[in-house]
Formats: sequence, C-alpha cells, structure tokens
Amino acid sequence: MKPGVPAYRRWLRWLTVAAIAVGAVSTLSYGSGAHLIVRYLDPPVGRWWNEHEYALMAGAASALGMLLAIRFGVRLIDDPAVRGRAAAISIIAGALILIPLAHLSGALGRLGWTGVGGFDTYAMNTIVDKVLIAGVYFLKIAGFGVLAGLAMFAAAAMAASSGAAPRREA
Amino acid sequence: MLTIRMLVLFVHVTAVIVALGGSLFSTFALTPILTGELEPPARVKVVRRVIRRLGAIVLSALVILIATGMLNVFYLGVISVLLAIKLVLVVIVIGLATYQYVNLGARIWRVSENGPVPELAPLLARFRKVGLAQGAIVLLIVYLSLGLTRVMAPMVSG
Repeated sequence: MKPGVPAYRRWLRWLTVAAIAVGAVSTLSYGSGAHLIVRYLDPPVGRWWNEHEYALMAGAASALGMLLAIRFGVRLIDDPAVRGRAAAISIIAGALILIPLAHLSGALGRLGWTGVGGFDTYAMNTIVDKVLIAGVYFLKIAGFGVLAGLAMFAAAAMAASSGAAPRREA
Repeated sequence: MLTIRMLVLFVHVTAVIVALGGSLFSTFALTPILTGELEPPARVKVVRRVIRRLGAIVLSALVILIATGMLNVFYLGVISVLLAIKLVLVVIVIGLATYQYVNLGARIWRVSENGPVPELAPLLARFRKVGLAQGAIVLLIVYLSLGLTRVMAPMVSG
C-alpha cells in the first residue's frame, strides 16, 4: 500500500473488494444452488451456508452500493480533512443501517417492471436463468444501496463540514 | 385515512417542500433583497450563515426524502421505467446538492471568513447556478412523480 494514501481510502478499497467478493460468491451459490456441494462435503457448514447465503448476497449488494456512493461522494468534496471525516462517518453509519437497508432493498429488488414479475418466477427457471436473475437482483439491491449511501454521505459530509469551522461569527 | 403509508407519503412530500422551497426562497427572495439592502461586509456575513444553515436543512430533507421514497416504492409494489428515470435523477440531485453545499458552501465559508474578497463572487455565482440546475431537476422529478401516480394508480388498484 502506498504510504501517502489516507486511511479512509484504504478502508473503502478493502471494504469494496470484500463486498464484491462476498457478493459474487453468494450470488453464484444462491443462483446455482451450490450449497448442495458444500452440504455434501460438510453437512453442518452446508446447512449454515444455505441458511445465510441469501442474507450475505443482499448484505453484500447493499454494502457495495453504499460504498460506491461514498467513493463517488468523496470526490465531490474539496477539503481533504472534511473528505476523510465524512468518509469515516459514512462507513460507520453505513455499517449501522446495513441490515435494515438490506431487508428493504431486498424487498424492493423483488419488484418487477410491471409489479408482478421480478424475483417471483425465480423457482421455475433453469440454473443459468437463476444465476442471471440472482445477478440482476444483486444489481437492483446495489442500486438502492447507492441511493441510500449517497443520501447518507451527503448528511455525513454536511456534519463533517460543519464541525470543521466555528459555528458563530467572532 | 391515517395509515403508515399515508404518513410516509406525507413526510416524503413535506421533505420535498422543505428542500425545494428553501432553495427557491434563498435564490429568488433572500439573495436579491440582501444584495439591495445590505452593504457587502454585512451581506457576506449573512450569506455565509444562510448557506451553512440551508445546507443542513436541504441535505437533511434529502435524507428523509430517500428513506421515505424507498418505503413509498415498497408500498407501491411496482418498479416502472418512469420510476427508474426518477431514481437516476434523484441520484444526480443528491450529487449536485452535496457538491453545492459541502464543496462550494464550505469554500464560500472559508473564503469569506474575513469579509468580502474577489474570489467570493465566482463561487457565489457557481453556487447559484448549481442550485438552479438542481431546482430544475427537482421540478422534473415532481412532474415525473405526478405521472407515476397517474400511471400506477390503476395498476395498483386494479
């Protein structure tokens, strides 16, 4: 890692990589039903994975969306000190709202373009279709994550910026 | 009549009114009056405080807008192309608002610390331009939202 890179950028990078990795594995596994292979190799681990792969997929998608929003938001700020504080506040706030956001975004991601399709026909498809549908679902959740992340970052940036200067005129 | 869905919609619309109304009042009422009535040092003092406070109000309203907006989509039960366009515009508005208040606003705050300086005028002009662009997009979003309720109402009810 370069020595001059601020800590928040390192955190953002690692968290983004982690969200992409967890998201890719859980989405592929969820779409293809790969928990069966894990169950075959180690039944307790396979059962745990089967119970949690959806939550991991939705959580990773929401986290990825928020992290992308924070990375974009950071570029809009001119002052490096405010940038760092805003990113730190956003990462903490994002971690706090991750679970409810993943639930809400997961529910929103199920909605289709007409309100009746979306994720509802999932069980009827082949494995390739299921992986594709799960991928689109992941991206939809991430999209709502971007929206929530941007709003959260805006508030965090305002708070960080307000703390940078005296509240009242001398 | 008083359901959670209605309450969420009420808070959503109120947040739009606060965000858009505050910006419009500042741009079209407060700023011209300040320019006409106050001397530059006093005007700068007021303007920088207004920008900071308005920033906190507008950005907080945007957070409420997003939270209630996501709940509204959930209650609506439909994601249409119109809604997708609206959501993209919302992302642009939040980006612009963040740039306006956190970047330009903070720079205005720093530059004007010791009263009026030549660098302040272009910053204020850009602040106003970004605000106007943002206001125009918000009006478009409001128009799309009206279209959305018109298109979705028969689908949801029937």
